[in-house]
Amino acid sequence: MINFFLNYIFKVFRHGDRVIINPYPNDPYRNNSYWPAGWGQLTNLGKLQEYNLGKWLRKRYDNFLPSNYSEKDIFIRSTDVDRTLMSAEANLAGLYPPQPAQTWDSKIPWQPIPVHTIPVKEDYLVAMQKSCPKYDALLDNLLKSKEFVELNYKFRNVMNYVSRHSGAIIDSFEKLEYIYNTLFIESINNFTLPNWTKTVFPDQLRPAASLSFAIACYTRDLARLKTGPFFNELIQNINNVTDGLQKKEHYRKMWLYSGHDTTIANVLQSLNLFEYHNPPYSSTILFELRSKSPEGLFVNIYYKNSTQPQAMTLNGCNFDCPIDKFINLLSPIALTHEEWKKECKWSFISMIETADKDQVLVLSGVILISLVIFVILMKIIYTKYNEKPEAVYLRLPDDDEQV
Amino acid sequence: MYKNLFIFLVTINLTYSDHTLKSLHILFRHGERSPTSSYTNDPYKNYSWPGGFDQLNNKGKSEMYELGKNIKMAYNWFIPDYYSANDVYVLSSYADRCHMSAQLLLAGLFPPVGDQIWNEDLLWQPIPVRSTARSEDNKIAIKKKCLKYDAALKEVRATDLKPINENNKELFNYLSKHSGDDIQNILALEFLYNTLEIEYLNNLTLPAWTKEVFPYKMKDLAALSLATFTKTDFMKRVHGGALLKEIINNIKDKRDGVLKPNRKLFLYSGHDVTIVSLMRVLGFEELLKPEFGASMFIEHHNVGGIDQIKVINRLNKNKI
Repeated sequence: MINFFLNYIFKVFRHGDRVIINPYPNDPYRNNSYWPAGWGQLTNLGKLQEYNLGKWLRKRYDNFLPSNYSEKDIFIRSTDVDRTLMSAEANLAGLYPPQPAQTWDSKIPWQPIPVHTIPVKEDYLVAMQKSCPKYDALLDNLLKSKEFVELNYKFRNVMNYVSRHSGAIIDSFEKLEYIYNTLFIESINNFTLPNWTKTVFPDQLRPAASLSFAIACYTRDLARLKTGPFFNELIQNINNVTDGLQKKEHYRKMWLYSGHDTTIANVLQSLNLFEYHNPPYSSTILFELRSKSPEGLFVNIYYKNSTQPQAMTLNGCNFDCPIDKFINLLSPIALTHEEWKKECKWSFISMIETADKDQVLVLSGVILISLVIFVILMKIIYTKYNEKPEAVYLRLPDDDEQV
Repeated sequence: MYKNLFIFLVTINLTYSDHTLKSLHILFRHGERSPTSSYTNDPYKNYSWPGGFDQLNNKGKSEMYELGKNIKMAYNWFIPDYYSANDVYVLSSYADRCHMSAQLLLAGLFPPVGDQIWNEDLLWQPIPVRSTARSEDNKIAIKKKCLKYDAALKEVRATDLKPINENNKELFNYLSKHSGDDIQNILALEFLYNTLEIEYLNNLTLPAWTKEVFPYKMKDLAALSLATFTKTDFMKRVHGGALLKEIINNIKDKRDGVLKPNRKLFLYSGHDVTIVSLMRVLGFEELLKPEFGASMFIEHHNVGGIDQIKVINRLNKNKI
């Protein structure tokens, strides 16, 4: 199996160990002196985790990826957040220790490698945060659905309990995840957690936190709008590689995406491969393109959330998934940026399509009433206008103006 | 080479008080790179540039690292030893060589100290360098589409540059004849100049025909070519205005105590044209051809309650 020729790697990974993003109001560790690296920042452990991940990649792909860095072999993209940008740099320090030809300073075994990014609000690819009104409407519907109303009901006691003690308003799975995450980071930093957490952390909160990661791509439509451009890029790259192989031209061998736990969860969930859990630091998804013969290209998916990568098999395909089949399976959730922009547009019609009956009724009512008010207003203005026609065109004298 | 200049910097700073500096913006050009292309009769056409065309080379890398160390030395009392995201902001052009130059400068500025050392064998720490897509960049490489600007540039090239192109017919013909390329305007001349400059910097002996024109005759016209992008006030607004506005806003917010996070050091990693445009937007009319690793410093002081801005440039090392 190891003899199979590796053709291409597409890798998305989570940043390393970090500081909590924002303490909760009653947090005994809310003073920033507890967190020298600063809120949300990568810690030394996190830098080391990513560096080691880079070294692991070098070992795994050493026969495939040249040891001298070249922008023609690899492209690196990160979300525009300190910890992911730094994670990508630390990862590359492990992957590309400078060889003699690229050693620019004998005392520093490191070389600069570009990490590309775009602002979070524009990022539809890795951060998946660019505004998409249709997605927001669909998500809103999901959270109001019977299934989620019942789930919320199931967790209402936990939410109330956590709200009362933390001092924050915790009324969603996302917010439960935020509390879980904060307590988790404090516990791995050996901080003693307050007594109130004992009954809920970690056992009661963990399932809620894990569930929160599944929500963003819960349905096929949500998955499509959230991760469509990402899978489109994967398919495009696979096509470029097959092209390059056929024409015997040079092509980029490796694409790295530095993202968050949500990025990992969204990609797995869209592939129906997400087993509810909280993606740990430095967790990694690998898409490897291999071949048994020049014609027989297939894709392997691995998920690495501990020391060894797990082989993942797509529904409807073998682990060695032939590329045509792989592309066919992914096409329904893949969108080009243009298609994505078009689909994201919010319109009245799309809203009626997605909304439930009550909402349509209420909305129609609102529009009807607004129309009536508008007509009445116009009528009033028109009447007044006709009452004193002489006042309408009255101009005040202007000294500066020649008449 | 750098040292003298930095001593000069420090001495002028002494005329202000050491502690009057409130914020510092530094814009720098990337380090030395391999040429973007060669010309038809280039004797070094088949020269194997390490890393290929248009890449930062090892000399460029260590120069950017040294620049970082020198800046730290010159502003030792101002730039903290510890890197913190709350002190420093770094924005780079999309280009690989600018990203890499920024990382190198940061490696020189902020070697890890104390509990920031995460790896005893590697005294370097990752520091975020921000950027945006090339097509969205209106601050550094300024490649964001602006149809009105494109029309203005075309107009300037067609009218204002016409007498210059005509006056230099002889030079253009000379360059075309020897290089084998069609050099009929100052933009084409600028590209040829860049290739010759890089070959010169790499100790490659230039052909005899260049002696008469390189660097001086060509350099002035290459500088004029860079200035063309900011010929009119409108063009200045588009090509440099956004960066200037960002700098002004940072300084104003700092002055008013509302800057969030309350940073003090702002680094911009760009191109020769970025520096020329910002200088021209600020009103400096002198023609410039910034070298690799050239930089400009915008210091914001508060002296006795009065806010003052000082611009220092380190554009030419007088090497050529």
